[in-house]
Amino acid sequence: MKMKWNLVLFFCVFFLFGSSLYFGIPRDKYMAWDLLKEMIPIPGISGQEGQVADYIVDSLESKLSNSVRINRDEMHNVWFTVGDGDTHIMFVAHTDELGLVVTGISEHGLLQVSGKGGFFPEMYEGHAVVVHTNRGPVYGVVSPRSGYLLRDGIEQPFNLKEIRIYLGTDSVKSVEELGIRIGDQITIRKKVVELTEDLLCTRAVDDRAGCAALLAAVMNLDLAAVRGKTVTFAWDVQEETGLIGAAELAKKINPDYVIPVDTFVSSDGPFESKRFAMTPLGKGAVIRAIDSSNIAPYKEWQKIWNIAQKHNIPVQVGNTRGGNDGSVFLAGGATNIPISWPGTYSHSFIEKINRKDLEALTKLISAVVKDFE
Amino acid sequence: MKRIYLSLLMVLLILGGQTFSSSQGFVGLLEELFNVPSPTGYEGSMVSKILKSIPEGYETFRDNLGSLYCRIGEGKADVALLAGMDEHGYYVSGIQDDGYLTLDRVSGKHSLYDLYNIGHPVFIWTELGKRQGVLSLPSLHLASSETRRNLTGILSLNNAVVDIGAKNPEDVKTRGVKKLDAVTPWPEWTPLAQDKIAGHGIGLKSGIAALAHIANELNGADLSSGITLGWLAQTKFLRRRARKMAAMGAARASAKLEVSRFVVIDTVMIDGADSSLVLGRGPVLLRGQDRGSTGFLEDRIISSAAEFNLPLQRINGLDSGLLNPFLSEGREVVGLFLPVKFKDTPGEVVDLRDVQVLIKLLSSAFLNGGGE
Repeated sequence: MKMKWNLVLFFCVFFLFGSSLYFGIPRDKYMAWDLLKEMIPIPGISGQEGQVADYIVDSLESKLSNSVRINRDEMHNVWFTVGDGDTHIMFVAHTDELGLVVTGISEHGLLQVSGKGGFFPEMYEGHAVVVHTNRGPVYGVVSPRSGYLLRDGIEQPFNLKEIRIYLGTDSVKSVEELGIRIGDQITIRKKVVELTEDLLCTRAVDDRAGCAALLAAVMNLDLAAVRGKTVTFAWDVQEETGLIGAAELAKKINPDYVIPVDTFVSSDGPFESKRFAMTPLGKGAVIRAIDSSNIAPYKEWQKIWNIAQKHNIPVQVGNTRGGNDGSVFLAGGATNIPISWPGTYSHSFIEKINRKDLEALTKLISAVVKDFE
Repeated sequence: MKRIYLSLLMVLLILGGQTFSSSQGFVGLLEELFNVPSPTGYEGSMVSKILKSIPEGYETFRDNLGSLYCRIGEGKADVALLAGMDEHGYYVSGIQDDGYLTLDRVSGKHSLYDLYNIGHPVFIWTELGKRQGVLSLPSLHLASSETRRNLTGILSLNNAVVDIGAKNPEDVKTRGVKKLDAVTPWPEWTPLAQDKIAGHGIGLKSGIAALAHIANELNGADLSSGITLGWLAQTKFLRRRARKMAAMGAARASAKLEVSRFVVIDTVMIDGADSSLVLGRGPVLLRGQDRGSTGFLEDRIISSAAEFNLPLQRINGLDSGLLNPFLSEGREVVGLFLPVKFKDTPGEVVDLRDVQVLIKLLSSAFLNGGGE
């Protein structure tokens, strides 16, 4: 009797703790959620993605063997290719974020700026920003519009041309002494808001989450086991300002399938009609079947859907607005099937994402690498 | 001779170090107070923090609006130094079926105040602690062309909601959030160049910190008469049917304190088209009453500024809800205001040098001799 209970106890312990080791079920060592939190603070507006590229290259170098060449061009696109086989699949996520750039300094020491990417300029009004200089960060405040205290202040326009940044100084010389130069990038002071353990709101989820999912998938994959197909993993630049990095990659790489890993803007928010783009947060990754730049062929996105079902990965499918990097590869004959996570408050300082969706997306990438034909 | 020089050097170093550490101490105190929420009607946390910041031996008392007073020194206190304690903020006015929270605020603010907070993080202060949330806004990609063109005209407190990641009222309850919980913008202490600090309510919090710092400096000092310090609650809430604009907390203090001389610390914006005020040129002296000659308070402040070579700016004719309740026969009131830039915005700016001068002025004008 005692022997029987000992055996029962043994098998319980074995299945709880040992099975993963014995059956070789891999535990993900790199979690996209953790990588996302590391990548969010790195400044990298469109055209100035160098530091983000550094992070990705450093991570890849720790994973890839010397036989795999990591490519990085002058624009800071980063990519590498593994596998053999006729079918060439390319994953791409973009490293750039929205922001401002210094275009001038007024005689009173105020910064003039231009914008990178599309956003509501009103979000910046009255808020603190960071100017990223060679000597480190310098803080400023975006001046509110004139007459802001008056009842008719609401009628005054506030667009990019109106933005002036106050640094606490009052002359060109004093601004230059802070180390600020024309061309320096400016971001909002990013705050990571943790609504719950699984829900996070912050700036630059688009597309640091895509970068994190792709990177986590790569770090957790046995790349040597990629057989029967060629796979390129790419982190490109300047997506927000016109898919410029992707266009440069399209000159060098001609995949059969391009799979952008980028936001699916969901209508799961308080201001949006639920008539379309309704992919709830927390219900899985999203196949972005139709958007403003691409219609993924039904049979092709079905393949990804079926792979997800096979691996029990929660997945949704939907249509939304916005373009994606894959569209510049269409002219070369590639089939474009974007995959995403559902996000709300797009292009704001509080872009929202659910951890479970990001994990599902990461798993989906890995599953597609293994099973897509 | 060498020993004398070395001794003098040591004295200078000690004094300089003390000044430096005192300055660092004040800035540290200000940063602590900056992060304490105190929207109108919810000043309890700020009161607790102030009480922890001032020496324990002082006689303190509160009125039933929530204002905190501190009596220092022996003898009749005939001078009161007062500062508003409440900041602009919100409270949860409702919980929707979809789990979003609606908001309202006590004080009527400028037309863009709410827009500055929409699309940004907030804190909800519950009995179970601080909760994080965001004031929702439309996704750019799904926004109509009208919304994109005129976001300012479309968003307001009337359609604002706070997202705490809840899906329904039960979810909200699980997080400890209830109706009437206070909600504040996420405080962001932002150091700028040339001794300036930016942040929501930084001017108000500087006044609070200045009084707390003075309370500490007086600890053990030999005063010729008593003095009352007061941190006033509900100053953003206006008394109804007053002849002139009157902040409720100030009106209550005026009725409660048996004092004939008042110095009120507040903020004044420098951004008006006709303003001659400048950051960094000292606090702003505002005479409370129109009179032919200066009064005792004004004289003391002006002469202290001259004696210690402290910068001081002047302004006339400002209608202040904090000062008005003290305007009566037999009383004297002056305002000593901190100039601020971008008043009542998330990026409100104060010059720490002005705050330091304010503290020195009050210390030297009243506290080395107390009242008359």
